[in-house]
Amino acid sequence: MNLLERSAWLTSDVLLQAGPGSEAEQQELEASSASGDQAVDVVTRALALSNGNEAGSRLLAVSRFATAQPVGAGQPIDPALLVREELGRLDPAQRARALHFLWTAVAPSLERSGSYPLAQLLASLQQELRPPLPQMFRTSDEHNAAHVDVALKVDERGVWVQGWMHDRDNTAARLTVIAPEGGRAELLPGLFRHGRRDMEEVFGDKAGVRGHRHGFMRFADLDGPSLVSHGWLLELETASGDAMQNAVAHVVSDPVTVRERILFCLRFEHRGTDELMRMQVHPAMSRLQEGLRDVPAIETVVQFGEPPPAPSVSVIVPLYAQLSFLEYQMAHWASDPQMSGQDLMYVLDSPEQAIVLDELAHGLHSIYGIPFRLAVMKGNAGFTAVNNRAAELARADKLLLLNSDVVPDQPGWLGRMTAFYDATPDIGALGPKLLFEDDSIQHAGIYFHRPPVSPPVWDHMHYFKGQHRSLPAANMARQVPAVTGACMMVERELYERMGGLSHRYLQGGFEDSDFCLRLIDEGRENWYMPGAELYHLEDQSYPKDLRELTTRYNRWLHTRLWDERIEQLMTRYPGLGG
Amino acid sequence: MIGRQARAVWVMGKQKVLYVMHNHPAVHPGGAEAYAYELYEALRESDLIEPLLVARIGSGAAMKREPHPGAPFSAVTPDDPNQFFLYTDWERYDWFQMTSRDKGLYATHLTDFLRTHRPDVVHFQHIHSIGWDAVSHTRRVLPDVPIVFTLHEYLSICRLDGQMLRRTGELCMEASPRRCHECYPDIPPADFFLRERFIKSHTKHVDMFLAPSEFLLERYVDWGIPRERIRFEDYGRVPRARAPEAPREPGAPRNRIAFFGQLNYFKGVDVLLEAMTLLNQRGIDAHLSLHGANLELQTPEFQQEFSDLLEATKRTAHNVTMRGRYDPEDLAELMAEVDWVVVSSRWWENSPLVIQEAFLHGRPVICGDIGGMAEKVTDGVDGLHFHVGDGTSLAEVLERAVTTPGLWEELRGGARPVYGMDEHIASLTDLYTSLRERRMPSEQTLAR
Repeated sequence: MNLLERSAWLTSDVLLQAGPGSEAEQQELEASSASGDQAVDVVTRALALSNGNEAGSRLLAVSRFATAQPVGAGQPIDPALLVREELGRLDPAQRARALHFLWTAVAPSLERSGSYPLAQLLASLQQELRPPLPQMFRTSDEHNAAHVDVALKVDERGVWVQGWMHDRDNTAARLTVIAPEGGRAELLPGLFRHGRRDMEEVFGDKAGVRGHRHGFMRFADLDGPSLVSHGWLLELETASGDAMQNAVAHVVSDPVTVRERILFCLRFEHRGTDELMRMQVHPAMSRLQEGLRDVPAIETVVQFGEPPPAPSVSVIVPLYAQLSFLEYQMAHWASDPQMSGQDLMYVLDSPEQAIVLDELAHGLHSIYGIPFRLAVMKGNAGFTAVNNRAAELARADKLLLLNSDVVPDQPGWLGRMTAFYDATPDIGALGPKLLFEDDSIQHAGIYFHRPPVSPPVWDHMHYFKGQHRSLPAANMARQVPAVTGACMMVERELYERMGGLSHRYLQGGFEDSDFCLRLIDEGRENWYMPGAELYHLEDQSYPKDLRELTTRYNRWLHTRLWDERIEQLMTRYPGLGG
Repeated sequence: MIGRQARAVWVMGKQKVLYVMHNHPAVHPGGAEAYAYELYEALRESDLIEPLLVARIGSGAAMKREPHPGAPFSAVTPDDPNQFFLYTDWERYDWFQMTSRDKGLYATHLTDFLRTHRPDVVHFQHIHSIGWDAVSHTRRVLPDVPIVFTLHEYLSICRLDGQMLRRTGELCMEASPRRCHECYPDIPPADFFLRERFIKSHTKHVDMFLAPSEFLLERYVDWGIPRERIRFEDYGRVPRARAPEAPREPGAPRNRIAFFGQLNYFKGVDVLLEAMTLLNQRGIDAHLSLHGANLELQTPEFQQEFSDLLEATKRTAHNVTMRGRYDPEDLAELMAEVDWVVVSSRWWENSPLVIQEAFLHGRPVICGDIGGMAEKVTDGVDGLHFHVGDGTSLAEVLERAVTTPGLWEELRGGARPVYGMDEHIASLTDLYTSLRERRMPSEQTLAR
């Protein structure tokens, strides 16, 4: 192993070596590690570098061991020093080649946890040794210029890039975003373009811009993980080989912000198409949701009062931002004898409010004496994660997913729902009648409807929404395509078997109907019952434009997943509601 | 059987009645406070009732005082073991929901207080700055004890200071999430819906609401208090010697007018000043004394408008004198200076104490033609009505009052007797007894 004269450990399992050598020795070195007759499992990659001014070439080699190695092999020195000395004497072209080699050889090690110091080391070496390209300028004289307004880290490799590109005469051949560690993502193929009035004014010549559109957006994958957020670059190369660069000043990695920023991009969708959604937003969102999926779990659970001995229903109530609903619900539970015997769980999804909520919960328990559990999520996890995680802790055979902004009209509603559920064979999900504060109907079951938009989507509709609560048609129990997750009863064992709510949707929308549609595929029927009446006061705290975009995303995804199934299903539920 | 024994015990001993009020008159003057304290003082002489008094104090009262640490309930004076301050903080009071964010106030301190004193009846005069939870928590701690609640305004119905007067100045007869949202565009209708539901989850623990006016009673019935749980019971007043007639030259007009009350928008002092200016323009010789306080607590706009109007009367006629704050014990003296009392409120009112005071001293009342005040003063019998909120109408009525010979004597003769404190106490005692019979303790509680 210890072939070359100088070596340094980049990490406890990555050894960097350098010494005199030619291409022949490079191949020999790589082959020896591939032969498999080593005592330890190791992969070595090497690169022969020749500097025009000096005689002889030198070899640079990176060996990745399968396990951490005892430090002390060879004469280890500071890896940064080794790289500086080896690469510092090279001409810019060879140096760039060496840096790229270093990146590709080390990148797989960044996948492991605890690799942030390695990423920092790579980033600082890149910054120091990378030969700079000429700067791009934003003047009307330029033929080519580009700028990244913001780069959003979707996960370690995925990056959402948005900005503008001026490309007179369509000569741009390559547009690349480069991570601080050296990872690269090509943007040009599949680049989404949109109009940018501000850039039209700067560059004047509209006709010279490809498709008259300066703006661009692209979800792209780097060729290796990136962990460092400062030192990103954008490169543009023309067909004639001129290359320029520009710093990417603004990189965001907070997942909630990233999700919101990407959603806001949907406003640039080309009319009548779903190009941006399909090609960029959905792939990015899927990865983002995948990343969020298993991360936030329940951090603490506190029991208030004695746990009821034999609860028939586990009532799961997510709390987010608006904590005052807890007090309103408690004031209602206090006069509803059925509630104190149930497994009542409040789950806080905005953990920054944990201290305030804890005080409130103690106070409310001291006043009302209703036993309940209070769980706090580790981070903002969303409706799906809150319900799925809470369901794992449920003590009763039935679950009731309940929003905090739902309060019953009269006591006894839960018993009536339980009785209905037990008496109905093959039932999947059960939803009650929900009302607005003015006694008009908010929910009497969900059906699907195609609004006149292009491309076509299936929208959620609530039967008889806005009608008076006494409407005879709304006062019959019946099978419905879906019921709302604002108040949904389901058998716990079934819920778990189905894997709970889907993680693919954003922020509480459509995961309820997705779940109900999966229940139908399981051979179950979803039911609406008017015998339990509650008020659903639809919290308006989520910003309106963001809510609209979230709904648009969820609706698109839901349609993509269920289009044909809904089409069939809606023939089974003809003429109801509209 | 047990019931009869228990009843015998009650009849033999005094009933211990806890009165809870939102202010102590020693700290903050106000009608409801004055009445509640007068009742308490009268009951101290009673053979049938032993009164306990808890008066809320703390931030927001005229003088902020700090409680002993950890002791929100504390005795007021060494002379009276039955009188307590209850310190609460406005900072922790939720005006919208009418509850304290400090639940320990109820769960710990109210519990301890109730268990220590074991009242036979709890009579809330007000829960302002204390919170509705005090009522339902009292029910939890003392399940067999009747809870009585006197309604002094419309706070539970109307978020807008309980006045049922919309921001537009329009009188309001009906609260609903939609209509309240119109007064508070920043608060969604759903929040008003929840507010009402929340308050009603507490009001249902009250055995009997007392309404000092029929008008207020009907508003609360409309709002949802069951008719069998609310009854009319006016404020009882301790009789006092009538103030002598105002001195005057023989044949001179009865033209001295007085206003008693807080100087704020709802009390319509601006309407009254406008009327005085109009009177002067018509050459009517009349004089108004303004007895009132709390102008400094009003909005800057109102203070400005008030002082502009006052200035206007000074420049022309000098027919208005600002007399400022008064002590209740000086009232007889002040009444002796005047002929007429004006209640210029632009809101409904309930049972204004000033009307009772005026009648006690034989002064006819001129008031608006709506709500509780119109109910207490009969137009042409013991007073005169004007179109509420209308300065011109008030000027016309005042003109008639001071220029019609014999009218004053006629209306003074028509004054109805004021509901006496003795009658009031007898009525309350009967009520408490019958409510306690209805809430007959279970055998289990007696055995304990």
